[in-house]
Amino acid sequence: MTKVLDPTNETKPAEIPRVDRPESLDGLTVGLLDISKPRGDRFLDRIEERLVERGLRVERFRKPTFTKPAPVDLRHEIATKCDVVIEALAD
Amino acid sequence: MRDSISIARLGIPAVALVTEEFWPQGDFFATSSGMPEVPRVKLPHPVAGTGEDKMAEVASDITPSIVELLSS
Amino acid sequence: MSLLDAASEHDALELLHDLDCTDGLPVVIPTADRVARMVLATGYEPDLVLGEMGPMHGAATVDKVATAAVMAGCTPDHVPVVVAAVRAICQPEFDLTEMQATTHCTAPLMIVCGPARHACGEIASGFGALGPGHRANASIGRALRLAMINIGGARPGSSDMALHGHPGKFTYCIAEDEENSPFPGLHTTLGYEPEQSAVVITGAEAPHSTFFTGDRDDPNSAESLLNVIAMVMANPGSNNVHLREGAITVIMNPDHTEVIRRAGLTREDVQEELAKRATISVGTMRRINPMLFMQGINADDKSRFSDAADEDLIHVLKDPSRILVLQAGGSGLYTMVMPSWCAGPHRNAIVHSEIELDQACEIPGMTL
Repeated sequence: MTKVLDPTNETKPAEIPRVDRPESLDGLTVGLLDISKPRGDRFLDRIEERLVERGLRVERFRKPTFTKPAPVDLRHEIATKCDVVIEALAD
Repeated sequence: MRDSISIARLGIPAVALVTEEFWPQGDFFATSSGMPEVPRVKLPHPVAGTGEDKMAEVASDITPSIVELLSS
Repeated sequence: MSLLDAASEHDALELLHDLDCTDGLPVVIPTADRVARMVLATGYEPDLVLGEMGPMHGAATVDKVATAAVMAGCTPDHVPVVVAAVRAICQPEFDLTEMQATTHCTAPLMIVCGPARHACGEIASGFGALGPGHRANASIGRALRLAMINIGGARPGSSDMALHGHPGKFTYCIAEDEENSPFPGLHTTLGYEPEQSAVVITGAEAPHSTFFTGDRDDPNSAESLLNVIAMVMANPGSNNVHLREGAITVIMNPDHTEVIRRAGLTREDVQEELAKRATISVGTMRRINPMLFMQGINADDKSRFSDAADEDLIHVLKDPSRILVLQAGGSGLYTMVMPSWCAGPHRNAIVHSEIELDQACEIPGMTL
């Protein structure tokens, strides 16, 4: 019998609980975060149109570059202005 | 993905739009960030660069799932 | 550490392959005895955390790093370099989480400087130093990769999204040819004393060959050499011209550094000249990638370049210290240029860490 040490990481991350969602989006502001991938804005334009057709209020945000996480200030701005957020486009 | 997880950390419900090619990476990020159930909507891959018609079609297809995931 | 059971060493290898714990090549089986000896060679307690490795946020403990070193085929002599390399890439400035996850092909290039090149090896700096046949280079670079796979959790197609990767992701380790170089040790430019040892790490693409024939009778030889290197640095397809402000590594062979030496240029001169010459015109960028260029990967591109004339020049990088210039390789016609990824919150900055020699504890049954 050969005993092999497990080469992989054995620490576990702390679980983040899922955020409570509103019952409906009526009267709420939907944030659309464009992560700045090329042509992602065109796609988000279409999503925005669909949401507006449904009578929702939409606020657009764009992070400076897809190569970095959104700056803290932008995340806070989004959190203060919006009730729910859509992040796109993660490819 | 990481942005929607950071926004969720601030207590705002968030959904990430992720193409199917990047779905496994999303699984990995979700698990390693401690939020395995992070809300995501799957898009065909690729979306960018496929032309205006295709993008409009995908947008129509997925908007109901987005609304559903953001409300209970 | 948890134990996995296997009926034999052969089965253990298959198990490690099945669990995606290898780089695809056979590994030395990390038995408790082998890992314990490797931990002793580090001189540290097994549970000491050297850093956190993204994207899994794994704890790079000494025993997990020693496990990677065993699997990679390292000898105890090699392990101080592996420990230093793990410390280096876990520095936040290296953006390891983003780098491991990117679709770009990039791998940590380890440049070993100072006495450790001999004490931990011999780590090759001459002919074919980046190729096969050099045990220390092969094993040390591979140990870092196995740590990035198993502790950092980077697996192709699920967490390491490199579209193609590159062969340097198996191992990518070279020593500086300090003895024969006209430049002082690369580590001394980063604040180390010559008698100290350090590993300098930069995220790098595969080497791009740069052909140049010097002519002793030509007073402009150095000028021509700098121009051709700068043109390779400004390769229009590279991330360096699109994202800019990354790092670029330039590894010159002894004949090319001789051209530089004869011209009376220092390493700093070479860095400055290359930063000045590595440019691309706005017109070329407009032609090759209009959408990316005008939408702007860099936040200020749109405002900076929308009114620029076609002949205006864009510098690939402003800060000459982001060009790592060193001598290595055999004597001849080629210098190697390694472009980089250039992204991440800190632009995947160049990092370094001291290699601590004489830390090893006595290993039973081994003469150190």
